[in-house]
Amino acid sequence: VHPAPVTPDPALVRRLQEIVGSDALLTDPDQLLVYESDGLTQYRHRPSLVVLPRDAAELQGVIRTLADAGQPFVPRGAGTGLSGGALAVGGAVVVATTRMNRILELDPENRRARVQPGVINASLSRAAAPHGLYYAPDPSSQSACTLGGNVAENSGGPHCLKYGVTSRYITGLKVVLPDGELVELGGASRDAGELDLVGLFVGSEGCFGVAVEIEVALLPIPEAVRTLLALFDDLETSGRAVSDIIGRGLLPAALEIVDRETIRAVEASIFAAGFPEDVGAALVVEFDGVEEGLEGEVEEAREACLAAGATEVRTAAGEDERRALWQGRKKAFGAMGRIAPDLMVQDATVPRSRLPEVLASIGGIGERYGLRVANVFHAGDGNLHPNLLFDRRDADEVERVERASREIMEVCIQAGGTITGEHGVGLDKRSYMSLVCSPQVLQAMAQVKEVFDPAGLCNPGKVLPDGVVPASADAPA
Amino acid sequence: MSRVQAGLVAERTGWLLGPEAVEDGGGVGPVVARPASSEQVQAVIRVAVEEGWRIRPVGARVGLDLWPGGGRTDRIPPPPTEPHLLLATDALDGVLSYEPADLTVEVGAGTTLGALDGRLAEHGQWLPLDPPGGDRVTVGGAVAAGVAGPLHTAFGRPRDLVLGLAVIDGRGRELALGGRVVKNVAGFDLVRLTCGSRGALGMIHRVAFRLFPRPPEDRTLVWEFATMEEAGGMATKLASSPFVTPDVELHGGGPERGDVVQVGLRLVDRPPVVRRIARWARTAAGEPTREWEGADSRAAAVERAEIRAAGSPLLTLRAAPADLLRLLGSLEDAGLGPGADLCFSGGARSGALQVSGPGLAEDFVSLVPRLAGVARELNGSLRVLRGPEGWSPGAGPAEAFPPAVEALARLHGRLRRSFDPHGVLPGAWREGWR
Repeated sequence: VHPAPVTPDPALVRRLQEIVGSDALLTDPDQLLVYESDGLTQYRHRPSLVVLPRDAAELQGVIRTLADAGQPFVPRGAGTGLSGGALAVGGAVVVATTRMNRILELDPENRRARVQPGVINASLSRAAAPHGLYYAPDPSSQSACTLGGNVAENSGGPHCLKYGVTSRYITGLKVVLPDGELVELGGASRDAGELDLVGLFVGSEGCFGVAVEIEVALLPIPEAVRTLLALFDDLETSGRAVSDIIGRGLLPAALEIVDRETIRAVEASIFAAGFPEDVGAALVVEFDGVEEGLEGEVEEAREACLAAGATEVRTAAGEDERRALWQGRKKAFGAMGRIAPDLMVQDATVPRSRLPEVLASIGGIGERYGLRVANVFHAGDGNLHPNLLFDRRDADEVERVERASREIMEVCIQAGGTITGEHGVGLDKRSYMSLVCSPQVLQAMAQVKEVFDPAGLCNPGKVLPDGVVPASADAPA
Repeated sequence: MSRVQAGLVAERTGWLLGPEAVEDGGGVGPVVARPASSEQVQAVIRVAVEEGWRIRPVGARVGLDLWPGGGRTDRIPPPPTEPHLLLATDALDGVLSYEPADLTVEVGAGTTLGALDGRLAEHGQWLPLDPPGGDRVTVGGAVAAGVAGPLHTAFGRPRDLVLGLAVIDGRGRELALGGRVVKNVAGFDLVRLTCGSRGALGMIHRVAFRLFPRPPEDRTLVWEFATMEEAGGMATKLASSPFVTPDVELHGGGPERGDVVQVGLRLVDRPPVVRRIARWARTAAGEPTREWEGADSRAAAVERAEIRAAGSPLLTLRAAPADLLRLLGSLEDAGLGPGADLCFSGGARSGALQVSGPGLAEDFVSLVPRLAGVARELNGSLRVLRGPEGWSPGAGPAEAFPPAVEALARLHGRLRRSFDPHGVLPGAWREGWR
């Protein structure tokens, strides 16, 4: 917990007020408290001020004013992030896009939509549904997270196994750069310019500016879906089943694992989905597409699960049961609040074939540090989410969590993996960056950051570790 | 470049790579060097920085390394447009690591797509990458050009298939970007920045891809029409199917097709899925004129990809898919209908049309502004990939290319210079870059 933030300059507050009005400016400490944290609650940095612009013009005015005043700022969506990426380090000003929540254009003929950044992920799919279309990336927080946040984090989700992550679906952006200038990047009807700036901006974690308009590609809703639930005595065996399914040349829409600890949390919550509580792990396998192909795939996946050692394979009987399974899976993170006051969620990706051994190692690390670990993750992508359960009032436990986290990261990297698959680096994983990036790569990232934000005002203190500086033009390699 | 200068470049490069890895160009073309390792690429780029050489990384040289932004008139193109040295990836080929269980592969940049496909087929896997140029395109070339083929609407563009890559930038730095896992957001996405950057940031020497199970069925249905309007209408109808498929292709002109315009749909999936979508397509469009299956379907796709990269001049018109008919109409109005000495290929779902052929060359200077005007009206774009002989984008036609937005130009320029401050790479000296 960091000290109380600096008080904002009254002249700056007045100038901002002239742009957005007083009801779009939060200064009351009680209100600011809401913005001190994101979904990863162990980090807290209270902003000095929160600004809530309603449209692109207001947002541009706000950024320009902050830039002119040399005031650091942090773009923020719904605050569901899991890496501390939207925290106001050093009492920065938070510029939240939640009021910019209009779908500007839904273009079913071209299967596109243009939205403001504060539009909630799930509401775009809801709006597109009458046209037989949907927005594919589906982070577990999709009922709350915003598309602007998804763009900043290049968010994933369970169905990214088949459909790919956010960057595949973002075709154009209007961005207010950190100096307040508005630029248009890409656009589906236009050839890419010299460099793929849309690809670069997606996943830049709010460090390159603020997207004020997002053009996305929509997909036709698959006509049929089949969902299987395979039960296993232990976690490693479920991991083996994942490799076997992929090895048979199947491409499920989603392949998700929940372990015993997670199942118990979910079943004890309002999201109870009917997962049996006496199993070691459950694997959710989902296929979608045209009706004709699905039965064969489902049968093959069932065989693969049984051959890998599943004790039972059930088929979701109908849409209600399927929805319940997904509700349980996607709300698992929230349900864990029932079994521990705090949790530290990790987000490493490993090659799929290494899942069983990595899962075993993580189990061992948890035991060694005397910590409860609950796993719920995108197994098909090899994207692990071990949740370390703890109580932050117990200093010793907090320290064990930190040490165990680092060890888990090291195990994943040794297996050929990376430190974050979809949650981003943010504040949380900065110190791990040098485990996966060479000094030259970090330096190159710092240069790119400097190109977009020479004054260093936009989301300072994120992504890059301290001490990484851009190379000068003449620096030897 | 003078013969003497070429001799010096060849000699200096020969010291670094061995004389057998260097061709001196015979005094008429640039020197060609074939480094066999990333260290050799690095050594050559460092010498280029010292000597002020202009370097151009090349793959199979099928012509995907094109003018980046179309022509521009907001600046005078720098006079030197010929490189001193072509840095070819031929000797940087081969599969470096292949993990069938993980559906990932890492290959040298000079590996051709055809050679890679042969290797992946042994394990029932594939890389759904079908850029213009077909099987002879190198992996490095495909990624550096970033140009997608019809498969992209089902599997993603090249940048969506790349998990990681290694590049030697214009400072001579080795940058190993991304990794070999299918989801990775560790830091800013320099992988996607490099994809499609056409050598402006560095020379790619290896690439890791995500793979897919090889579809057990590959079938192509082709319908032929007498007019652009009929063909465009049918392509649009097929593209509005409720299925995720490769793009619906449109092809016309050229010696093979004569007066007819073809609409093609390639289906790659499991047999019941292919049967179902083919049934839908037959209901929508009638009995196809031609149909290919299996290896023939793939071979036909490769052939179409080769045609897409061929021809001069070559340009791309792009608009929203719903405006495809208007785009086709504008070609016809310009006297570029079927039967004209012209070749075009398009995607009804992506809304892009590639146009080439002598018919375009005859009246290029007046046609380009007209087509650009149509594209602009539709909020689309026109890009000249290859002009007729002697034409350079800096030389106009001026009205076709509006000046670039200043802030955007600044970003591009700064990004490029942060990787290539000494100006040795193509972004620094080829036309169309800033």
